[in-house]
Amino acid sequence: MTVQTDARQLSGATAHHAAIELTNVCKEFRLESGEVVNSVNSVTCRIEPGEFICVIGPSGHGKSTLLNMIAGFLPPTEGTITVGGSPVTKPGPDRGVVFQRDTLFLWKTVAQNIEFGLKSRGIPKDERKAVVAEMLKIIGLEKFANAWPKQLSGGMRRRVAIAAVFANKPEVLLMDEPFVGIDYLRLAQLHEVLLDLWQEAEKRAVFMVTHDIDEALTLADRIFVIKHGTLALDMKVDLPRPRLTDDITGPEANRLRRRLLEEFSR
Amino acid sequence: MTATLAPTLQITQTEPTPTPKRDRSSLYWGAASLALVLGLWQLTSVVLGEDDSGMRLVPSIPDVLASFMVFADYWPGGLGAERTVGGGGATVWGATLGLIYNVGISLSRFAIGFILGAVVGIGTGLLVSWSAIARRTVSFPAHFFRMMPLLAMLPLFGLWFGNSELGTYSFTAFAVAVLLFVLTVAAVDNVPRIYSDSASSLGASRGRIYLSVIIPSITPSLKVGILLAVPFAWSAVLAAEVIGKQYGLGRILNFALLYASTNIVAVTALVVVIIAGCTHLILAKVLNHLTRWVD
Repeated sequence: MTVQTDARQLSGATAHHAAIELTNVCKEFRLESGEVVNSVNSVTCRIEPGEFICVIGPSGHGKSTLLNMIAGFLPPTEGTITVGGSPVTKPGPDRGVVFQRDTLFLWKTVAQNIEFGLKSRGIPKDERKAVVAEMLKIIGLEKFANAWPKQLSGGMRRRVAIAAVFANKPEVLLMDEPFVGIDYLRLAQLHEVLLDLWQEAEKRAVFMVTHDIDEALTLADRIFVIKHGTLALDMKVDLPRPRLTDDITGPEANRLRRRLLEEFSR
Repeated sequence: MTATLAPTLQITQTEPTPTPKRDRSSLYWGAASLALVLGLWQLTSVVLGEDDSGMRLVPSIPDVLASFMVFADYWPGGLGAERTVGGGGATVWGATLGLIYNVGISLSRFAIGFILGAVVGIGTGLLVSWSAIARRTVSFPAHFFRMMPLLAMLPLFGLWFGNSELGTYSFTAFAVAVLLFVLTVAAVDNVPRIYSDSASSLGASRGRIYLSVIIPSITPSLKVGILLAVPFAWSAVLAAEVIGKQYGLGRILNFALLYASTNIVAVTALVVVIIAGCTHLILAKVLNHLTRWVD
């Protein structure tokens, strides 16, 4: 218990609640054949405010289901999920979601997309404009404020999608394989944008599903391995930040990488 | 916050595109095919000739052009052109006035019926789509109406509304509304769930999601439906004008058929094609602007 308190003090949090807390969370799906599949099986974990979690594991083993339950899109069959101490019953702006698929509203300009969440929550116009301008600056797309999404490249769209969620200042950021199919160079830029935005608010926790071990080692404080719907490994990543190429190819990173690979092949 | 990505900006639309030289070749091809069609038409007319009663099955092009004068018979008189029924001779001026007059009348029937039908069809479609239960309840009767042969319904509208303008409007509106209702409901059904998931996780209420996510996202489908409804509505107007109307392009068509004047049928059909084509182009321009965001 004392360890946890210390961790919270270290992360600068004054709240007494975990950012995300899962207790015995299960999710069953009934297939059309009538067969019942246990997608998520009794997952218990606690994510502190300010923590960056990467979730990796084989496809179809429950990573996205877990994320969708935290987001409030799916109700768990059993167990409880709390975010910031309150139980999750439906989607809400305290949990920003970046989807794998493109969810930019194609009929809104870049600025209007970023503004959408703020407008939904009734933020006054002046404040909205200021936040949008700041976000556009962070993602480096000031010149594209009035462009339609169709005029942007894939990487630019991703940046807008992330900015639209961050503009809302969610307590928790949920990301479901947000960078799939992005080429290596642009990926590094997107990681930088993400880390900038994450570090901007001390207490903001990130829960990010990925397939990429290197990405997880670059970004995460802790890496979860989800296998067969269970939390198979909860591994701390003690690498200094900002993480340079040397850090994620060094002996410590390789030790972690090895452990992950062993867990995968088991 | 130090990292800016400005130097690596990928600009997809950088080069100021020079005003493109219009590709004329499609124009030439269009003109050539038009000439071909006209040539074939004239040839068919000559080859088929007249039947026993002296009726030309396919009118020749000069006949069609000459029968422009028929519009003078459908001018109620005034502006320096007398009614031909009253003994006045058919003049080009009278025919022009008659053309404008009858096009105006049919166009106003089209516009009122179309707008009424679009508002009712899309409006009820959106209202019904709000709730999944309502959607399921209404979709069967809607499909039932859609399968109903529209022209066979015309006498019913005649019985209900007599030969009043209301009958023409409501018949046209019915044709448009049923089509657009079914399309609207299907379009709302097909909006990917990820859009509303994304919006609700950004804090949007159900009402806001409907108004600023669902409705804009179906505009491309609605555009297709609205443009499909244009020729549909024109058929309805022309058919409705057959019953008890003194003026309108449908009336002229009906009389021409009565007297087996294929040349008058052809010239009126030509006018209808041009007017319907223009309404299509104008609507398409407006709708294209509304959906300019589409990839």
